[in-house]
Order: sequence, then C-alpha cells, then structure tokens
Amino acid sequence: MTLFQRSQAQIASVALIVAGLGAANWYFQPQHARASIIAMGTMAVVWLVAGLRVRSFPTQTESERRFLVLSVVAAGLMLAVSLGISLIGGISFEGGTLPRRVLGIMMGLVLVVIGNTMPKVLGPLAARRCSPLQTQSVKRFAGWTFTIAGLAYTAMWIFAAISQAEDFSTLLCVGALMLVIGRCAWAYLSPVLDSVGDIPPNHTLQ
Amino acid sequence: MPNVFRALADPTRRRVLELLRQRPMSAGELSDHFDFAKPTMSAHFAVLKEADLVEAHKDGKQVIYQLKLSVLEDALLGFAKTFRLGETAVPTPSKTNEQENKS
Repeated sequence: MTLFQRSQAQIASVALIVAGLGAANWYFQPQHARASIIAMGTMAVVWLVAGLRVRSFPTQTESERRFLVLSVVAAGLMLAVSLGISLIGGISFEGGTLPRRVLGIMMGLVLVVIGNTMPKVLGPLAARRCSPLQTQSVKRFAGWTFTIAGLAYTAMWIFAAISQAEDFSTLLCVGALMLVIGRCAWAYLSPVLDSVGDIPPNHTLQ
Repeated sequence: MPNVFRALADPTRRRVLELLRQRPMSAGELSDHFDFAKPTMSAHFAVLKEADLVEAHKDGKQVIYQLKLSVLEDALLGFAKTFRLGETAVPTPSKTNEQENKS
C-alpha cells in the first residue's frame, strides 16, 4: 500500500465512523437531526479538501503529509466523540457530567498532539517567506505553548469542577493562541533577526 | 522511538542538535565545531537523520541541516543534557591519587 493509499484509508475510516455515528444519532434523536447533518457534512467537506490536498503529495515534505493526515484524523475523532456522546445521551444513558468531561479531555489531548507535532513540520527551505531561523524559533514557541496549554486543559477537565473547567479551559486556549499570535507578530516585525544566519530569507534551493 | 533514544544518548549528537537550535547549518559548519574526522561526523548525521531529528537539504555542493524536533523530543534532549546521559564519568582527583598510590 502506497503512502497516498494509506493516508486515504485512514481519512476514509474516520469519515465512515463519523457517518455511522451521525446516521445513528439522526435515527435515535430526530430532534437533533440538524447537528448530525452538520457533523457529517463537515467531515465530508474535510475529506474532500484533504483528498485534493493529499493529491499534491509530491510537492509536500513527508512531515507536512503526516501533519495533514493527523489533523484530519484528529478533527474526525473529535466529531466522532461528540456524536458518540450525543448518541449515548439519546439512548437514555445517564452519565452525569462524564460525557462533557470526556469531550474536554479529548480536546485537550488533541491540542497536545498538534502542539507536539508542530515544530516537526518543516516545509522546503525555498518555500519560506521568513528566514529559517525565524520560522524555527516561532514553531518551537508555538509547539511548546500549545503542548503546555493542552496538558493544562486536559488536567483541568480531569480535576476541576465542571463550571470552572468550562470557564478556565476556554481562557487557557485563548491565552495560548494570543501568545502565539504575539510571538508571530514580534517575529514579523523584527527584521534584525533576518540577518542572522547564513541562509537569507529569500534563499532558493537547487 | 528507540532510534530517538539512541540518537540522544550520544553527547556529540546532542551538541549537534544544540548548534542547530541556533540556526540551520551546513555539514561543514557543524563539523568545524568538532575535532572528529568527516566520516565520523557523517555517521553522526546519519543517525540523527534516521531518528528523524534533523532534515537535510541539498544546496549545490553543500548539505544544509535543520532541526526537526517535536516538543517531546526537545524535552528528552533537555533531559539527556541535564543528566549527561552517555557521557563517560571523569574520575575524581582523590580516586586517581588512590589508584596511583596502589600501583
């Protein structure tokens, strides 16, 4: 099985799980049909876009391909967990706050996985607009920030009271995002760093 | 993952990764920081590439290396550096004197 086929199979499996859970949700909870349709439609669009993007594999580095597939699978799993929790609620399973906690933990772990992988995703040097030094330093900062925020988010949904977890986890995500945006802006506005290193910003490779 | 541990267990390879933290460098630039022969350095680069910790790009005759560490691998590198994994223990002066006296 080629890399292209394997990636397509992984994305298709997640899409089918989402479709199955969406259909079951629609059947058992007709009053929430709209949410099920949106979830299935979103996954179908993501599958289509990812499929088109995956076709351009020869122009991407291996880490970019992995990151793309990982992102789509993570998005699909989040939709699947949401639909699964809704389905459990629909067939009269009384789980208390458990479904919300499970979803929170899942979202925190997705943030950890994406943050962890972020610095490893490298495009070709020639395709970069910033200097390689800037790109590397921003990616490391973003990776560490999202990983730590994701761990804190997960811990919050495990240990904190549900009302506190709901409030503070959102603040945590927004805070992490603002930090990363600030770091990107600072890197963009500090041209001095562009002159550091032997590889200029507009460096092209043979 | 075993490849990552193997790569990080060597102080020279850790030093290479620390140099690459500063900026992407060519193989020649990296080799200038060490007293090893070029084949030895090439072997170290090969181990790092096999562990997927660095990425090499060809630029004419040069090979440019750049860092490719995930957050977990970055943390492991810091851990290995802090605890000096793989470094040979230097005998303390008192022990050395004792050994000399015995002989």
